[in-house]
Amino acid sequence: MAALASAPLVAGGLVVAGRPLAAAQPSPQEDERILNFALGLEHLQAAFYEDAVSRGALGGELAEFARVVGEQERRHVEVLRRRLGGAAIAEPDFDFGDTTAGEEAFREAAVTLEDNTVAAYIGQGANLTVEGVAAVAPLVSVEARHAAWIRDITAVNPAPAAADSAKSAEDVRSALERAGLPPP
Amino acid sequence: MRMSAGPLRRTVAAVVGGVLAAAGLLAGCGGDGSSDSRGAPRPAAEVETLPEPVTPAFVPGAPELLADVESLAWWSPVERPVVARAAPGADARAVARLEARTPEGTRNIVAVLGRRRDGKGALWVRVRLPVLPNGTVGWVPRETLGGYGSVRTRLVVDLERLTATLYRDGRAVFGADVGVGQPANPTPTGEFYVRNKLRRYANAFYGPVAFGTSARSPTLTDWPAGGFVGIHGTNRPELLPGRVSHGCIRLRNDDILRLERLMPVGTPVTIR
Amino acid sequence: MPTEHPTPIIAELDRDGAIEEALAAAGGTTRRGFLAAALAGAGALAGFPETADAARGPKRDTAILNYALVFEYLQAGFYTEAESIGTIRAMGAERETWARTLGAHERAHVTILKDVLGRKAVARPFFDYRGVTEDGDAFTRTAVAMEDLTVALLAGQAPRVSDRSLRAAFFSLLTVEARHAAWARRITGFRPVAAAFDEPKTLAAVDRVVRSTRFLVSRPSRESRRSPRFTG
Repeated sequence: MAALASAPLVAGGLVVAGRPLAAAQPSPQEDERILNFALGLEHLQAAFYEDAVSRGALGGELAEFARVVGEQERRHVEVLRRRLGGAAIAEPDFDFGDTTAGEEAFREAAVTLEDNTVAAYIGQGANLTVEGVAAVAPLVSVEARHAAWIRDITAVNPAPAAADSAKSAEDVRSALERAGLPPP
Repeated sequence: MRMSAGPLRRTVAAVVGGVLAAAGLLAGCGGDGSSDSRGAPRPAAEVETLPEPVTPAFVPGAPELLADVESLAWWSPVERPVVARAAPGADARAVARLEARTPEGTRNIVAVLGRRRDGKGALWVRVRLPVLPNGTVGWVPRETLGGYGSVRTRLVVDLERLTATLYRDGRAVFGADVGVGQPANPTPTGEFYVRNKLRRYANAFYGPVAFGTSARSPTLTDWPAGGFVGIHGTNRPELLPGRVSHGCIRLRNDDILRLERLMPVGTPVTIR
Repeated sequence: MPTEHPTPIIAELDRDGAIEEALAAAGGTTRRGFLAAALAGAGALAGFPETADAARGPKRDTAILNYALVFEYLQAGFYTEAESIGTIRAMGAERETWARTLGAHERAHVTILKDVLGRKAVARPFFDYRGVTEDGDAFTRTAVAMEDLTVALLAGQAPRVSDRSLRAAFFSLLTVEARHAAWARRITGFRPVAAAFDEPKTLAAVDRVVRSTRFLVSRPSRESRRSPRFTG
């Protein structure tokens, strides 16, 4: 914090000097790759909840969560696929193994899935063009709501820090794999 | 209408891009999501080729839990003239009338001590009043007050030792000798608060700064502007410490200037 | 105050009606459809009147950060006041944890935004929460409205920030505010997520809601140059 406070500011602005940029300037081509990654995650989420609902292992609020969130992830898939048009990736076949077979496993997997989707969007948000950012902004916060909801159901702090952290796409994929979830 | 459908003119990107983005989202919202797809879908996203996250310009620190709530004192401006009552409720006995302005032209403020709902569910606030007899408290409807200000300071004036001590979060941060009321016009004792601050006036008698308090002289009731007790500087520093005033609390000018930087309006004042 | 947020006029609105309006928006009863949301988003980029002359760039970034700071002041003050005067303590363990956590986050947001803005940071305004911090139910419902509104504000502003490192930081704040909103909603019995998309709001739209609450007021005058008439 102290270091940030004393970081050099460009006259008249807030651009912190010397900060390395993750990617070259955003471009429509880069947007396409990033949005396809997002689409993959949304596919994964939608399928995960649909699988859990169809296997019928959830009750009470957990069942409501899976149904409501599953429907919303499906809407996210539609929006991103629309936007990507012919460039959209196909919906992969997912194997969710035991993660959708029981309540405890589902809760754990869902927390990982939602938290990592949030981290993925944060990680790529600033790599998008202005148009790309405008497209994902209304989805990102909904993913964070999903994360808070399932965490609260699971009795872990829904908002564990004053700011969420970014994760690279590769880190997100390995986190999902470690949780027994298929790659996006 | 997709972003990739054609080259975007950078000059209009900010405006048109927004419309495109909105349109793209709109299209996705209602449709079935398949009619727009063309050709064979691509295989899964290549995670390895995606850029690293952009380092954020700032990262908030750890959550700041509230500490030491007990040392906070609250004040509130009087938004409109109101009759303070002996209990929460419009039919309770009237205690005093509160004006929205002080004689000095500042907003009248009261010290906030507590709150309660009356039988009809209306919120009432218990306040310390700048009226005689000193120490009077009363209840006013919440909506007659403005927002709440808070302070972490407290001033204690000791009439025995002729000192003033300012505490912040319970720790003494300022001390000075004072002049207080002569035996015939004693400084009143009790719990009060700082009501306003006067500066840059042309009157050397009061020194460079004069705080107004809610305390009133019990003897000088016909003093102009009500006979309020001030905490101020002096042009007679040689009299301090001493029992020399008409009830006011006098400090040396360098002391009052130091106090001015440390003591916000609204600070509770204990005189004992 | 930043130029984007002129000193608020205390609107001649029915007090309870104004608060009801903000709360209804939070409860989902008057939530506009996504069509309206998307159009509003386009409107934001097409030019919010007070910023139409301010081009995308550092100046606008500063203005947006300052607006975010005003909002964080509003929220931090809200939680701090409710906690300090004992309202939160009386709400039960679950709500107490929730409200104290949110307050701790909003205060951290104020600190960092002030640090980042440095001398350009707007001063803390004076707030009149009009009794809402003094009643557990009103407090919780208003918190829901405020958190949802913050999400809409940040979602609307993220695309307007031109510096990419700032945009990255905005995203991290946006998701935390969304977590707050979902948590607040679940505690109050609302569904944590009202729709598949959060409706981004323009600054003008956010401003209208903030004004309708009349929480932002001018600082009461407590200093004068008049000659003292104290007893002396």
